[in-house]
Amino acid sequence: MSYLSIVFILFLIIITLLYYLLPDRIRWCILLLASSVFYLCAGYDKLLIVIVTSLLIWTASCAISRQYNRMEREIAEQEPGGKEKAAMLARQKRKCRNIYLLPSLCLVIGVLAYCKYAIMLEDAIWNLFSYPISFEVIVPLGISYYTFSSVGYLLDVYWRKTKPISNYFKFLLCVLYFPQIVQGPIARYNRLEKELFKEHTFDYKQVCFGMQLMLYGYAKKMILADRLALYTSQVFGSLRSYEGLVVLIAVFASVFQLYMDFSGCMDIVCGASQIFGISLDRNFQHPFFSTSTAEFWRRWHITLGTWFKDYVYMPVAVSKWLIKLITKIRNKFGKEPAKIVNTVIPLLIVWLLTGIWHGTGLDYIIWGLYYGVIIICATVFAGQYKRLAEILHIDMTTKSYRVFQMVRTFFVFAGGRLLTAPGSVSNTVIAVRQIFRSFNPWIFWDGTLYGMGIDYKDWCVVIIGLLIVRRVSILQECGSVREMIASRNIVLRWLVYYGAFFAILIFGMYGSGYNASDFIYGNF
Amino acid sequence: MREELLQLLSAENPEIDFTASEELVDDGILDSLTIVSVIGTLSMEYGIEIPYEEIIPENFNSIDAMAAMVQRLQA
Repeated sequence: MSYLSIVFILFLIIITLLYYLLPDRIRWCILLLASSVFYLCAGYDKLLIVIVTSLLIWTASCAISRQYNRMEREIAEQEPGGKEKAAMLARQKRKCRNIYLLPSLCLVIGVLAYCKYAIMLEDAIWNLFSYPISFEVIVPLGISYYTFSSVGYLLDVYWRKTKPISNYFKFLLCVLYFPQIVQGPIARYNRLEKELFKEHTFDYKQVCFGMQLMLYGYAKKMILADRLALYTSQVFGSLRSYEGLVVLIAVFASVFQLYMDFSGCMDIVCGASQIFGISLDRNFQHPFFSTSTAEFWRRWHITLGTWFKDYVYMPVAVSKWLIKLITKIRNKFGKEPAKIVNTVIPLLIVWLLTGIWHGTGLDYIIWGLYYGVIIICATVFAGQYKRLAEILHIDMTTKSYRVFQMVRTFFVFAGGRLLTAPGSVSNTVIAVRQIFRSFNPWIFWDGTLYGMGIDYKDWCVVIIGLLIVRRVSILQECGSVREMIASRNIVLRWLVYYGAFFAILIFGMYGSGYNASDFIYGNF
Repeated sequence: MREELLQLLSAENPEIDFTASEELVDDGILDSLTIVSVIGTLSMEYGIEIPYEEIIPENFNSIDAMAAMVQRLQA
């Protein structure tokens, strides 16, 4: 069931009615039922995989917690000294790690890896042994998202940063919750649990705000992302046929397409969840206002970034082996090289894994390393950049310098899109070659640009739409736009609502002969 | 212990004023990169191993909190 379908809208209306008509204590059951039905639409075998996976994670988390409780009782009874207590803790942790944590993590990550790499494995076997083999791969809906959430949850329980959810069905709801299962945000189950199981009363304002956010998301997706998709798919689909600015524009168009697609979906799902009075974690915070690549990634796909920070970057950065290594380097070469190693190794691992998460091809590994190297260079050479700016008398506090930083960050991101949007490394090479093959500004007036998927009027809609989104983003940086609209008089308020609604009806890409594009991040 | 730690961390991270706040992490003065650098320094200087469950904002929000954590882990 696509978030873009009429069926989903009807489904949401029915669930909302049931949700608010039934008593508060059983509302979570309605959400669990709705989430199960939503998931069932993707296939019963997929639902079965999620149920088994979640049962495994839940059982392991409860077992770890029981071990820790037992240990605490023993400590309270025996009152051991500092070192003895530490030894007891280490023993229990080792036991929990070897019996419950590692096997569970291997299994869930193994399922994810199998789903992602089975096709690559088929190709590798064929290339190596010329033996045709075909795996029947069932890819559960949103597997990357719920796997990451589950891994994070289990690690939090193991690190004693959170208590496990005692009721399996409540845990299952956290995993399956339908607004977030398809493409996130990557939930932290302890936070989501608080949201799902707090008291919910019907709040007209929250329901209205939720619907408005959904409307804004649909507009981003259906008016802008899907319109730009027509152009980018045509250009990247036959790269050798186009050159110069046509390809360059496709790269920049794919930047906006991705942003409108992903952030649009996030607005739809956060809005749908807000109707139930449940806040989801924020996934975007106007990334194009970032002044550095590191900041960009703190504002783009925020939940993925924080997941990697908490469960990969920090554990690697403070791991025994790395501390030993930097101690050795410090003793031998001094503080600065030790600091550099301490920065470089965890960041490289994180970005390599981020690349692998985004895609299975070599292009995504290069993409991950591209960002890793940029962020590492910015961190390691921060002092040198500052000194260089002083030598060149560049005032880094001016507004114009800030604008320059934003533009630079945008171009870095566009460079990243050039690595992945064409579909493979060889296509990226072709795209770069085609860009430099000619300089053809006449495409703007000889009609070339308006005959590739979208025409002149479509480009006007795109440009006006992007300017509106930019204006809304600036307003959002200052406060809540929905609150601003709500404070205006009824005529203006409804003019905005009707305007947005009819804009989707008139300018949205849908209807017979047109197949709405899936969300780009929906296949992870 | 507090003064020693302050001197040590200020020398390692001269751009950061560790006395500026009692909520260094929550106020955004210490980001993850700085926390990693602080952990590296504490581990090397005091010969302690900081388990991952100790890496919570409360333990890094102030020099006093960091000193208390070091003393606890040394015990």
